[in-house]
Amino acid sequence: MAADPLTPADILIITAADEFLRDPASGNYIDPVWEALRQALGMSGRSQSYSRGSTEFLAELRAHKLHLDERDRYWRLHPRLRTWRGEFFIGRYHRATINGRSVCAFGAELRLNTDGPTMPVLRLLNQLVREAAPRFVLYVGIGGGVRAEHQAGEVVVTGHARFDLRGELESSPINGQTMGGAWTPDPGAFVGLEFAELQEPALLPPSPHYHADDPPQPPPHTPRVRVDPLPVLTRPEIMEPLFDVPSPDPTDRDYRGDIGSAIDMDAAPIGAACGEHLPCAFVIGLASPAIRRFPYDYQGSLRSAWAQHMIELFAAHAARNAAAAARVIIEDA
Amino acid sequence: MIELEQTFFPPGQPSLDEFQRRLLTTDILLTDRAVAASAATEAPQQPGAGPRGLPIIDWQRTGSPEVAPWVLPFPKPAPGADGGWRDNDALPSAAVVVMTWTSAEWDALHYVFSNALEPLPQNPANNRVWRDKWYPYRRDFYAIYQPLWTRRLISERRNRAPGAPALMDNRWGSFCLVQVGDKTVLLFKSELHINQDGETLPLQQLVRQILDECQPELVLSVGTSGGVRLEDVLGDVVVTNAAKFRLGDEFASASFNHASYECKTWVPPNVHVDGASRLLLDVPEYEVLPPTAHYPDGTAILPTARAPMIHLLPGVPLLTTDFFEYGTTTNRLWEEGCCVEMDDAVIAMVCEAHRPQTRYGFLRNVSDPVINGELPRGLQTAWAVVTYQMKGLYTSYNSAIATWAMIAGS
Repeated sequence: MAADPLTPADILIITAADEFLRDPASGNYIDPVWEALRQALGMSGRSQSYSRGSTEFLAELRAHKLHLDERDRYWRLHPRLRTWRGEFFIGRYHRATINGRSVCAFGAELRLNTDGPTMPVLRLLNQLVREAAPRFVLYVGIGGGVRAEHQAGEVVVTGHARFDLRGELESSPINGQTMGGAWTPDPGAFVGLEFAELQEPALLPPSPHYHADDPPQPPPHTPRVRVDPLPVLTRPEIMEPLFDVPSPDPTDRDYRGDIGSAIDMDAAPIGAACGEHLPCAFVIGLASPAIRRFPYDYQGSLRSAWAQHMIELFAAHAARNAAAAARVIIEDA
Repeated sequence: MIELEQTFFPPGQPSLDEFQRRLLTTDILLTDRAVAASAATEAPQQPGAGPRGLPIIDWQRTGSPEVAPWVLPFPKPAPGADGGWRDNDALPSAAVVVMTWTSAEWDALHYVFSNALEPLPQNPANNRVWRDKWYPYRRDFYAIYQPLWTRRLISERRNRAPGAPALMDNRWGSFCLVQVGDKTVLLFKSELHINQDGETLPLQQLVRQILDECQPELVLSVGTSGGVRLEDVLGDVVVTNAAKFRLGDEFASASFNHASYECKTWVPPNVHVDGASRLLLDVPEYEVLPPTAHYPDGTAILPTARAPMIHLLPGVPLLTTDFFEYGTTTNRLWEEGCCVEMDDAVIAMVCEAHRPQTRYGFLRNVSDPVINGELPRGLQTAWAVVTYQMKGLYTSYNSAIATWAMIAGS
């Protein structure tokens, strides 16, 4: 039953549900991380929906949506509020057994960037950890690079995540806190992983009035797993469905490479739910490299468009690579 | 390549296009403070010594300084003064009416034609000083008050931009009077727009009132546009006497959609085009930089464009849309018209139906050149928005200069 609690699992994997990519094969919009996890962990069949405690969440999310309708309907992202067969649900999950360990992969419908200042996802994750009572937790998601060397399709693995919130979430007492630390990744664990070669797109001119006979293009690169002691920075945008876009330039005010290993929108709440003692890994597939600040941009629209283009090109690769790295971590856990 | 979902935004949220359309249409909703903030992100583009990088205008260079514009006194004292301008006063008569539409266009038109009224300030946050010296036009505004509010409420319900910017100051627009040669010219900044005010299209009513009250011989509309011809560069000005509706949003089903109009009694004169061309401003496109650190060192793509020109294109219609559209190297809009914009066919339609003796013409600067159709859609839109927002003042200066040439030569 969707309202039942999660049954215990040795390993709990959390992702943030987001069906935003069109699958060229089926034409459907898919959640690339969820699809990649299903494949990497050999999970087949239909996912189970999860709605335990959904009444309370539903009331809160509807109240937030009413608030947006009243005050900020125009600019803000709204809660997902999805239903399955008429029933509101707050997540879906799959179960698998890997190396004799029970694994539960959970896709959370609640998000930091849509659900308002009460951040109900924090309570949902506490509930999940309490019910599943795992001995190890993984967050698997996609995000953006923060340093010049970060390439699309690479995977950042770290044991820490930091709340780096702005806007209405900025004054939260958890903002600025770094979560996790009970697990230390082993760089040697990923030596056998090999990823497909990728290449960033050629630089094309915006109009016919340019010298552009031979458009410059970076050489192909082979993504790798980067184990990093710095935390992933959870820095959601609440006005567009995109993580904040960092700059690769250490002198730029948008540079984040000195304080973080990657940037994403959902990781830190998982760290908060795990507390100080429950081991927790953060696995972030880099769907976009860091994007420079252009001297001619208007309110960041060009940077944002570049980041979205990179995500179009590389999100599926980043998700697949992250899922493969997650499988390695699960097997070693 | 996998495509981002058009509704990458959650259900009920705007698409990328809609979001970026907001950036564009927000232009006419921006407060001066916001204009200042956006303008402050960029140093002046041009070497000119005038405010905000505009050049000092040397009318001697046109060869016809005797027809340089100067400001005329208003028909009445300022609003609020004894015997001053009232909300129900009719517009004064004028031989020529020039209509313009957005903040950048208004800035440029004011700078070229009526700077003597109050100089354009270096800091756009001080725009209010000169804008307050243009008179408000409110006659019979009450008649569209309810439709505008209806539009705004519907927009909110549809989670779209609120629209109806005329409600900000409850006015049709603002005007001032100038003289060019022997012609009295009424400059009118409209707050009405085809895609902002709803299906009743109150812009028609505004044009009718202007025609009735000013009794002009000629109505010109001047503003920014998306280039559709491959050869047109940023800052070029196309001048035509024809317009065609190309409506694809809320007015797609309008009976006048796809209608074409051509003013047979006015052909863009070339008498002062050479002189005006000497005053045009080079508006170079940006040196394109790579988005990441992984491109070869020193990567940049350099623009090659020539200096801007004024193109007289009688009989070639501009395309009036009700959504943010731009020409690309692949959508072949050049087969339909000379540029794409969002107002002018309404003027042609009303003139033809309501006062056929008034001639009409359109001057549109290329504030976006044809966009590379090989780029992904999001980058195309971003380039169109960035170029328009950052260069619109400078391209609008060129069309204001061309407007002078058309008035002086007509």
